[in-house]
Amino acid sequence: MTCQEALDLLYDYIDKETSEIDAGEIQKHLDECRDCFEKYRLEQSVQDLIDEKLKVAYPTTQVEGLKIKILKQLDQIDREDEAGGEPRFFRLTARTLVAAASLVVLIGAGLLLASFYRHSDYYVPLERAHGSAASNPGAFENPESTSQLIAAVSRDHDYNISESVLDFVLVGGSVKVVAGTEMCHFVYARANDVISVFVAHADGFDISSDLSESGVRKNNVTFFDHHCRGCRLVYHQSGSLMIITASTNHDIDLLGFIPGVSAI
Amino acid sequence: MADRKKEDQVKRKAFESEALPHMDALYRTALRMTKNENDAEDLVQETYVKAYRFWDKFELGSNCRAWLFKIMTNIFINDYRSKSRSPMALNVDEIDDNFLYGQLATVSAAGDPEKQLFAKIFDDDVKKAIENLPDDFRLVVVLSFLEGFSYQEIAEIADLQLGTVKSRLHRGRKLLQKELFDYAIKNGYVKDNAR
Repeated sequence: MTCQEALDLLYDYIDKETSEIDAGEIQKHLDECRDCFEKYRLEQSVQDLIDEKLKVAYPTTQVEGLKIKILKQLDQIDREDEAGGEPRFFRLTARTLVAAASLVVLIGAGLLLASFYRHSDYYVPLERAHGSAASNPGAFENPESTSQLIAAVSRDHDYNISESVLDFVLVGGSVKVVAGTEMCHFVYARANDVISVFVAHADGFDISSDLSESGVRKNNVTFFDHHCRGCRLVYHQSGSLMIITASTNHDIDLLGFIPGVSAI
Repeated sequence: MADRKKEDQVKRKAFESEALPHMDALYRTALRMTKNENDAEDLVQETYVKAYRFWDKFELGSNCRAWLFKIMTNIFINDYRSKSRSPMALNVDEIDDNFLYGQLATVSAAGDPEKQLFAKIFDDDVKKAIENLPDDFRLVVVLSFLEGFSYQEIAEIADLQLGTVKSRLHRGRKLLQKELFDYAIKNGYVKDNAR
């Protein structure tokens, strides 16, 4: 084995990832070659130092507290399963509806005033979803939970989420907490563009006066178009359904993206 | 209904004995990945909730630890990964493979130069150096160094090609060595030698 060959496999050797035959060859080379042995010794001792320092423990009380929290959450899931109900986040109680509606008011007002109050919360799931959808679409969401979510939206909002719209394809969906409230968040993608669709209930939603002035209302559909932080957001309200579409590509027809709602 | 309850109890028991013992390891890694205790706790909790909901997908007898890490890594990448890329990533390729070796050779001619070097590196320095790694590198470094996963396991957990795991680990190491050397200098390593 030459020095170059040995050095190429040095990390594999340190990580014990070489075959037995290679390990024997490297060992033999290190025994014979002082230069390579010195390099090996240094790399190994740095590795030992890092390994040792990394394993510094954290207080056990911290982990105990975490364990208690996790057990409580498991209890909660058990109770839901026992009741034969659906997962908590698909059940929209009257209380969450009110919360969702007031949240939407907050978002709307926040957008208009360009205030960042609770506003930035809105961009976080958006940016994260767009980041991962663009780089690794498969990892975005579990297909099973996406289809569950589509069913929940169809049932709770009487709205059908299409697998594809225009030339965009549905990548996945998940429940995202926006400003402390759960919303259904779907992501569509095509070659270089990603669109987010947030679905929520708009019952009791009262458009603020600031917002209604810049919003457009026709045939029971209200929409509001906003540019902010590199994103364009179009917000639609049609009856009790609230849909917010957003993308970083300003040229996409976000208003036309939602079938049925765009007819104004 | 009674059957269902019994089924649930069996499931819960299996989950507690198979999955819960890995909480320490998950938290340790979550802490290195998210860099703060609150996010690390949230990440581990989300991981367990998801794992519990999908427990029927887990094949008993297979590697539960790797399965949990795969779930956690997925959540981290989707929901926690910071959007800003560390500028360090740009300089990785400029670091010579023999960086540390070369530095030590010029600084100290005799004795055990690395012993003097290591004496100037503190627990906190290592923690900081790891946390300064860009997310992609930090993930493979932590899974390998801290959790001892094999290259193949890391490839499966992080959904990467084997070659990508190796190259990220290699470059992560070089970045770490450079950071640690910089800390040692800051902490007075070179000054001591120059006397």
